[in-house]
Amino acid sequence: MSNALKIQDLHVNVEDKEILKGVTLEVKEGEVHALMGPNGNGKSTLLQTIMGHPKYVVTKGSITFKGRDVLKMTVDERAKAGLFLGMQNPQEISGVTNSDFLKAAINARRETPISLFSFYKEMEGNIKRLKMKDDLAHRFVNDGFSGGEKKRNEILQMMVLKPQIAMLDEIDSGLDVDAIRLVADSILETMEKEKMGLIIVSHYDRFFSIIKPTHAHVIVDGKIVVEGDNELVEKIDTDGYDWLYQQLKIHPRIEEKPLVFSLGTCALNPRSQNG
Amino acid sequence: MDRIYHTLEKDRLKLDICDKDMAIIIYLDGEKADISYQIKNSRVKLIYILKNDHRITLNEEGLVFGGEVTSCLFDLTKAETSIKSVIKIHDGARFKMINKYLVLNNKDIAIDCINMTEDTEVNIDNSAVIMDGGYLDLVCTGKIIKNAKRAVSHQKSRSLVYGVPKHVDIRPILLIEESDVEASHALSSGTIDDDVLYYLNSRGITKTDALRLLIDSYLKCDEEIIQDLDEKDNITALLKRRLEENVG
Repeated sequence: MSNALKIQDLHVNVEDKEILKGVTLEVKEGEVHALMGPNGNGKSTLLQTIMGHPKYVVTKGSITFKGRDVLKMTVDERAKAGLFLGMQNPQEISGVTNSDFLKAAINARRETPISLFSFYKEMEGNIKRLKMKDDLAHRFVNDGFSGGEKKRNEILQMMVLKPQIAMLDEIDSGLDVDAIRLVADSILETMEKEKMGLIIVSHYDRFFSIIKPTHAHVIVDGKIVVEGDNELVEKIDTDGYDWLYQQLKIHPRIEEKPLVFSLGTCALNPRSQNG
Repeated sequence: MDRIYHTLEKDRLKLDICDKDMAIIIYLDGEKADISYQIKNSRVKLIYILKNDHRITLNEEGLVFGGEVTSCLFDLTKAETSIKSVIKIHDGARFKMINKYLVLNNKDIAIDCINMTEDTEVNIDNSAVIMDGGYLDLVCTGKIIKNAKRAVSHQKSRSLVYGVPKHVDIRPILLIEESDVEASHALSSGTIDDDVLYYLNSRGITKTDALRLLIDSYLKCDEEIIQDLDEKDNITALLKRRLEENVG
């Protein structure tokens, strides 16, 4: 049986608006797929749909993993089947410690609960590998974390949960130069060890230059418009997307940013209002 | 650390403690409990555990002179509960109050912590999970009286609503009569966030286990409070049972 993740002619709506308009993609173990394209054109939508976010409604097409129909699985079943999504904006969960959270996630995959010794050995090894703070296990999930810490925490979870397909959505944003190298090396090590397949969304060549994608796909307006390998990643890094728009006579979807209104605050200093 | 265990049925309890380092664990078993204490220059943990599911009225009056007192109440029962606590803090004492409520029935709670003299410190931390049909009325007042200079009074209350409650009203109040003080109150109240649930699910945790994890985070024992007490296992087991009954 194939271990591949297969996406066939996928159409996805968000709030009755079609965002993905027929995406076809296959990811096998050991492959690294770079998902590129301008913001707001469907990259994150694709990853969230694969993971099963309820906001994303599949109107047509299929997703299968190891021959199973992913669209019939609940979110936790998808994770237990071996899919992992490292999120662009990881949730903060005040009150739940990283150790309780990860223990629950590991035990969800096991018949009998993991021993405390094995759990802490596994966790501490990976915390050290990612050069995270020693007290991480006892801190609340992403609560008070910097942007970089949150992203490392996503990678820590990936290393502990050992998925077969990891999808990483802008996992390098918020990381400094040294941290990008560290995180990328950790991803490659895990990939080699666990025979993992990867789908990576990133806007930075620095990250891709370490990860070295085997495949590259550019999504514009909900469709994959061009595919290639690492050379395509390098070309886009050098030339941007304009050449593609001209060559293919296409237009990217302009990202709609929500209007933000301030309702003020009851804690305003009256003196600052006067002056 | 010395330990004293009390099981209060139809009883009143009066404690007078001086120069001690001890934990007092009180199981509230009856319908009414009147508890008064006077604690001087001691380091005391007072732990109240509501034991049964029948209606209970608790009146607590406390006087603390110097030292450090931590009071912790666990109400994880289905009981209709009425609690009134008045604690007066004197002589540079530090008083910490931690309350955990699982609201499955009517809970009427009034807490008054009063800084009576200078350099006293009060920290109150209320956590509640209000389940389907639950009723919570919680009034938590921190008062600093005139001339209690450099007194500190902080309180925070957080609640999680799961299901459709009958009524939820949490009122943090600060009454401050002195200007040279430090005081704050914070209140957060909300339902279970769908995005948080999704995040937990995306790591393989089922919806039921995710809900338990989130509710547990509000109600579980503080390690520092009960780490060396046998009650930790009792409270953890009770919480687990309640979550199984109410979450699945």
